[in-house]
Parts: sequence; structure tokens; C-alpha cells
Amino acid sequence: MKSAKHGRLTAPAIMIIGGTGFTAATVAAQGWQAAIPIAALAAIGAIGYYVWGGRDSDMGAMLGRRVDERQILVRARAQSLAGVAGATAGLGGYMVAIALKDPVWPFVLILGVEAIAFIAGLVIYGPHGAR
Amino acid sequence: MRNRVREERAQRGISQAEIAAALGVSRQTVISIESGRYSPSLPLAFRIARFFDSTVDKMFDPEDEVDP
Repeated sequence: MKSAKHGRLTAPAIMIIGGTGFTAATVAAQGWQAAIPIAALAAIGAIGYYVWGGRDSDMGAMLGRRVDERQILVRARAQSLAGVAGATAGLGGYMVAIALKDPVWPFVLILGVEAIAFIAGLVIYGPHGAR
Repeated sequence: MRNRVREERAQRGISQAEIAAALGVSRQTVISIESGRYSPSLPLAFRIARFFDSTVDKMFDPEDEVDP
């Protein structure tokens, strides 16, 4: 388990920095009123991430970046499931787009990225990358 | 995989949180190991065995061990 006092702050800090960037871009393009929800969302998200990241649970450990070996496995399985769900949704969207004669390129892009990521995963984490 | 973590811990009067801190894992992982839902990695199994002044083969007993 990583002891990560600063790790817990990393994601909220990135959210604050990213949120500030989005807020500034929105202020420049559309004015203050449009930027207020974005700034509020970023602030709430960062606070929620930090608070939840301190909890004594698997999710808290993942958000707080202090995972141990079992939690790494849990996270990898959850990411795998999310990948399968994404590919399934992409395939479903592709079939619906064909049926409706809509553009299929967004779904081809999603499925292509999934396929390339899978192959890259095999190369990166395969026999020579496994520890 | 069956193991003796819960029994050894109870004999010594150590809490799950204490052994988790000593082993460098989360309390949830200790709970999962004790209940047999999670089989620890070899390095963690050695750390557990050393913590209890025992050996890996005394601490862990695979249920599905195949007879030679």
C-alpha cells in the first residue's frame, strides 16, 4: 500500500487546475454567467474527490492513490469491465448508426481505439512486461 | 485458499487494522485474505508468514491442491 499523503491531493489539484482552465476559457468565450456552473462543478468535484479519497474503503484507497495489491487487481478488473462495456456500446452504436444510415465513423473510432489499446496492453503487459 | 491468518491474529490479540499497517496493506485486504476471498501474492504471503514467525506452507493451504 502506498502511503500517499500527497497522492490524495493529486487528483483534486488536477481537477482544480483543469477546472480553472475551462472556467477561464468559458469566461473568455461566453462570459461569467456561463462559467459559474463549470467552476462550481470543478470545486465540488475536487472537494468530493478529496473527502472520498480519505475514506477507509477500496474506493477511498483508489481515489486517494494508496492502493495495495488486491485493490490494484480490483481496479484492473473494473477497468477491464469498463473497457468491455465501452466496446459493446461502440458496437451497438455502430449497428444502430448503420440501421439509421447515420455516420458510423465515431463508432469505428471508438472500436478502433479499443482494439489498439487491447493490442498495446498485450505488448506492454505481456510476457516481457509482467512482474 | 484456506489460511491461518485469522486464527494466528486472534491468538496474538492483534486487530485487523494493526496487521494491515504492519504488512503495508489495507484493512479490507486483510479481511479478504482471512475470509479466503483473496489469495495474496507470493511477496505478501511471505510477509504474512514472517509476521507470525511461521512459514508460508504452514500459513496457507490451497483447498484445490492436486495430488501428485
